[in-house]
Amino acid sequence: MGPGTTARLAAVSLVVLAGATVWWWSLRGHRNLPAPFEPPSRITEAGLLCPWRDPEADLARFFPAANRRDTRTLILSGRRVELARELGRQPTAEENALQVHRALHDNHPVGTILTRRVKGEHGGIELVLAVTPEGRVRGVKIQRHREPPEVASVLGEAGWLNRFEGRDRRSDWDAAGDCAGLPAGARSSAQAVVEGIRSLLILLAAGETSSPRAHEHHDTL
Amino acid sequence: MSLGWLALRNLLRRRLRHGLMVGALAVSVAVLVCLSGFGAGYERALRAELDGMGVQLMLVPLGCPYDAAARVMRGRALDNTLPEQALAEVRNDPAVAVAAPLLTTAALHPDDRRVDLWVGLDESGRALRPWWRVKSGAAWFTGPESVILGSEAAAAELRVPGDQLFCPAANRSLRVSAVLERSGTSDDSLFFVPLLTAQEMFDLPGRLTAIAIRLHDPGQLREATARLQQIAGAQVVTLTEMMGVFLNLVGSVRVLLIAIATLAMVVCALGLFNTMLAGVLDRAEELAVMRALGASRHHLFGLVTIESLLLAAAGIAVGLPLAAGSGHTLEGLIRPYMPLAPLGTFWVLTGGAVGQAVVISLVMGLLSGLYPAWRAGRVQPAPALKGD
Repeated sequence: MGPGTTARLAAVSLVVLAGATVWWWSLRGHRNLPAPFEPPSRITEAGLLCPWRDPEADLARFFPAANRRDTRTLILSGRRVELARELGRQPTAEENALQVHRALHDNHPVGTILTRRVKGEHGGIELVLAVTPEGRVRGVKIQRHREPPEVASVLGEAGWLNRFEGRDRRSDWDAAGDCAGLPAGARSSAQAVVEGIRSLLILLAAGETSSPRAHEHHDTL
Repeated sequence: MSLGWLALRNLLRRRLRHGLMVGALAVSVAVLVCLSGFGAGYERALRAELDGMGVQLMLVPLGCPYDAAARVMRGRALDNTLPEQALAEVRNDPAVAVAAPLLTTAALHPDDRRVDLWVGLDESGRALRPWWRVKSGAAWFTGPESVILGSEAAAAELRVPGDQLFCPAANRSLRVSAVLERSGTSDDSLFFVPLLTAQEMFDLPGRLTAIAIRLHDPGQLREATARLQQIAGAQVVTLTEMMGVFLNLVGSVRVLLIAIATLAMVVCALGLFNTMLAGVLDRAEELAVMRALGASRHHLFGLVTIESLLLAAAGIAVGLPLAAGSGHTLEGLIRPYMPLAPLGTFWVLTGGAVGQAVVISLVMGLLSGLYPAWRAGRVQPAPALKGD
């Protein structure tokens, strides 16, 4: 290839690059234009994972020593038989994967945060569960719910949520017993919370042993 | 040996140089075809989508009409409301086939950082929502305390028909009567309740946020709009107007893209001109020999022109399949930037776009080869053979 051809190639490449840059720049401003209405064009088939809505506050509350966190998705589809035995029911489709947020002090894990949406009597209840590296409950928070005020006050009461601290997946989980002192109207939602905590502990334990198949990505605090 | 065959042989002697030129031409042709296809396809898809929505007019409270119509169609709440009497007036208009009242309210839950969008509607609203499909439960509200959930709302709240759903903003418990199939519209995340229930829940008795209207005959749009515009406190927005605004917006982007495509074509034309001229200068002795052996100026002019046209034709031959193969990929890249992306594909390979690209490329090939061809025709055998 002669020097003339090389120069021509370089010139054409530069012009194409410049054109692409101008094109990208001109479109950039249109990205945030509000669509005046939404025709059927944004079908998202992804399942509705429960988001972690206030990570900074939750980390400060449950793991104050943490200065980093990372997020992993544990794939549990290969453990369904074992999970069914431990859960006492067939795992749901959503339980094929578990998003795990590890709280780290530098690179040393100090705990794990899990989130889960459970079925309350009047709507979804979003749980945040803090678990120690040994697999015991550090704390529980209800980050969002749709329960009437009388039920919400019972569920959100620190005394009731604190009773789960220190428990692990092998503890004596008795949802009826945990909800025995609660008003009748709150029991169904409370039992869903208890079952949600227990399920998360079981899923986490199963996922920790499946970690080679997990997909990982990292977020820094 | 014909001139065409000779031109082809000449091009094949410098494969790298001419191959690169064909590549550049092919990219330009593909860009041109893709952009033309986007313009036509986008407009067609947008029109089809608006026709499919079943609504031709929206009666909204006074204020910015586009903002109001856009908010209503996205299931967002309006700050102003219409009196319910406006519905009776709309229904009395002879041109109106369906008038569906809507009360859209945003229920704020600051503690949860959540906003629920509740839509009150009556039976007539279903006629204007052709995309509604019930996934489970009853076909419609089962009573005043019932709620129909969009698919995402149901998934987020883990609700199925028969479950209760509490609305904290209104302190009211409702029973889920149905869950809708996913439609890809804003309906997926909405909570639908009977109109009267919504008016009670949000303390807006006798008020509406909009009336969606379908006419017996879309040809009566102008007359109906003029009559409905007379309703006190209300204004009419036609979706045709809205579409015009969107198309203008898209049109300006399209003009910019076509300008870039034109720039690419011009650059290619200069490249082709350069390639042909360099070829003529490199082959001055060869052309002189041809002249000495009896080739006329016209023969040499024709030879170089045919070479230039052959390069353009090769660019077209490679560029069209490239456009066909890359159009949908390019659409995927562009779609997130579109102010309003219609459902499905909006890129189409039209005959017009192909014809336009073919004609432009051949004309470009012809023009780029004219001067080099003229130079070729002016080669003097004696000086050229002496190396002058």
